[in-house]
Amino acid sequence: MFDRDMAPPGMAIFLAKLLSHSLLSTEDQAAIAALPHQTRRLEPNDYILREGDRSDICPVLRSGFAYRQKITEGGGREIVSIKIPGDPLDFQSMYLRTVDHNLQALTAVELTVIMISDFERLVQARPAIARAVMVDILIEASIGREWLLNNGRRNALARLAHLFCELHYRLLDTGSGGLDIHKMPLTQEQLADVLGLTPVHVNRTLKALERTGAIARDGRGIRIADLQSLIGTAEFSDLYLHRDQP
Amino acid sequence: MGRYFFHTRDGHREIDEVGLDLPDDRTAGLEAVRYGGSLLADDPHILRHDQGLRVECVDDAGKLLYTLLVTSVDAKENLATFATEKD
Repeated sequence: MFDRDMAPPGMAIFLAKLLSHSLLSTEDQAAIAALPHQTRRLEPNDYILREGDRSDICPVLRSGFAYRQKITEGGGREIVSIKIPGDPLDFQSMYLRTVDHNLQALTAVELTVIMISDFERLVQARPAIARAVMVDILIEASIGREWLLNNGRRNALARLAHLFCELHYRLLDTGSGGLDIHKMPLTQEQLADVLGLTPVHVNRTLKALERTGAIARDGRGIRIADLQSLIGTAEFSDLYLHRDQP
Repeated sequence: MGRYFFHTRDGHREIDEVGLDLPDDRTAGLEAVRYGGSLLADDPHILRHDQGLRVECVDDAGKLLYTLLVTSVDAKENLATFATEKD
């Protein structure tokens, strides 16, 4: 019988992520854990994938944070997605030929790198794994829709509070511990690129959110101090994260 | 390249102690406008105070380089005042 605790360290958190939204038999889990893989370490801002690349790897974030970003001709950058430990970073290259955005390390990261061709063979042989890939992609798309709403229609205070809530629950669901324990991994300028605000406006909004008691700052970073207050400010509903799966 | 700070007044004073690295004074002036625009779009009530909104762009040495001033006038109230004066 396959025991997830016996999975290679680089694979255990990937399995935890897939199991957070999908049912996989012990045979399916064992097949994933047995995939050949390598560990890669990158520094903050190192590129994992570049727009225009043709990728033959499926990197999974083992530790640290990463982000997807797109840049206008004029150099304006928007971070369009934040990836947390356990997240597969490029399922889409199994189905699409060309990478359509840049993927970079936000913090120092460890990647578990699987060959797409190896993973593709599993997907073709095991319907539950194929379904888990689909569910993962669908939930990422749902998060993207929520970000459109967040940046388009929520004021700065609610927008920032919402991002804190989302990262907190996503981290909890993969067993990483939430933002009440870990500090917010994004810098003020990165938050600005996520939220579509100027960095100075982000700083002002952080201070306002701190005054409500929802977050607290110390020398090492920003943490959630009062989750219920934060949820209230953000008017946060976790429905779009599909935490009721599987 | 230099570090610029953007303080605001909108009924109360908000000091920016973090600042932003920008290539030159002109870019910093434009950033003050962008920041003011962002604050206005975010919360139109920011102009409810008599002073309106003031964004002050200050350089690393504390020298004031640029001020963005936005105020609004309630035309109805002002017309009423004019009317009273005429009578």
